[in-house]
Amino acid sequence: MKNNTIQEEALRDLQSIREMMQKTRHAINAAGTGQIMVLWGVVWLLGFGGSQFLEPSAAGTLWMVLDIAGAVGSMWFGARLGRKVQSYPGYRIGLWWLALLVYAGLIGWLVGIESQVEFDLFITLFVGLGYVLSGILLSRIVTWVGLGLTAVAILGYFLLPDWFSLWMAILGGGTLIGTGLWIIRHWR
Amino acid sequence: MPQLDDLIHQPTRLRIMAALVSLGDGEKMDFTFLQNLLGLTPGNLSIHLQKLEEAGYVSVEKTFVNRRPKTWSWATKAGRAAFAEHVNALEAIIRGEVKDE
Repeated sequence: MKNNTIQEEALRDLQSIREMMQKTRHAINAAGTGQIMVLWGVVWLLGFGGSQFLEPSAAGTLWMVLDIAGAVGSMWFGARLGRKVQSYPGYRIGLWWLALLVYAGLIGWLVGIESQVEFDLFITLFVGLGYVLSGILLSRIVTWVGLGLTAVAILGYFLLPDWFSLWMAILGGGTLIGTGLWIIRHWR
Repeated sequence: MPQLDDLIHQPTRLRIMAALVSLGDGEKMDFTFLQNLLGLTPGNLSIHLQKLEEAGYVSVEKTFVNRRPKTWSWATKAGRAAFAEHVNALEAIIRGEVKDE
C-alpha cells in the first residue's frame, strides 16, 4: 500500500518535470518562432503574389526587398529572445537557413533549372526541408509545417502549374501565418 | 541504484531544475523569465536559487544591461548530473525496483 503511494508520488514528480521542461521549451520558442513564422508567411503571400501578377523584373525586386525585411525582422525577434535566454544560438539558426538557401541556389544553378516555376518549386522544397529539419531539433509542429509546405508545393506544381505562385502565396503563406498564430496563442 | 536527491526533491526546486536543465550548454536564463515560468515571487525564487547555488547545482550571475541589473542563472554540470540521477531514481521507483523498508 505504502509502495503504491510512493510510486504515485514518483509518477507525479516525473509528470511535473516533463510539464516544466515542455513549458520552458515552448516559452523560449514562443519568444520568436511564431512571430518569425507569421512574418515569413506575409513575405510569401506578397512575394508569390508578386511573382504571379507582376513582370519578372518587378517581382524579383519585390522578392529582394521582402527577403531583406524578413531577415531584419527575424533578427529583431531573435534579439528579443536574447533578453530572456542568453547565448541562445539565434544567429546560428540564421546562418543555418542562409547556408541551406545558398546551397539550394547553387544546386539549382548547376543542374540548370530554367523555368521560373521550377526554380520557385525547387527553393520552396528546400524551405520545406529546412522546416522539417528544424522541427526535428525544436518541435514536432515545425516538422509538420515543413511537410505541409512540401505537399502544397508539389500539388500546386502538378495540378495548377500556371497558377503555382498564387497557389503558394495563399496556401504556403497561409500555412506559415496560420501556424505562427497558433504557436503565438498556444506556446505561452 | 540511483538515489533521490533531498534538495531537488522539494517541488519548487524540482521545477526550477527542470526549467534550467532544459537549456542547452552555455545558455543562461533571465531571472524574471524564470520567475514568470514558475509563477513565483522574486523573494521565493531567490531563496530556492540560493539553496541550489550553495549545493553547487546552479550558478547565478548578476550583471548590468543598459545600466539595469540583470540576473542570469543556469544549471551547473554537477546540477545536471544530480538532476539526472534524481530522475533515474524516480523511474526506478515507478518500475518497482526500490521497495519501501
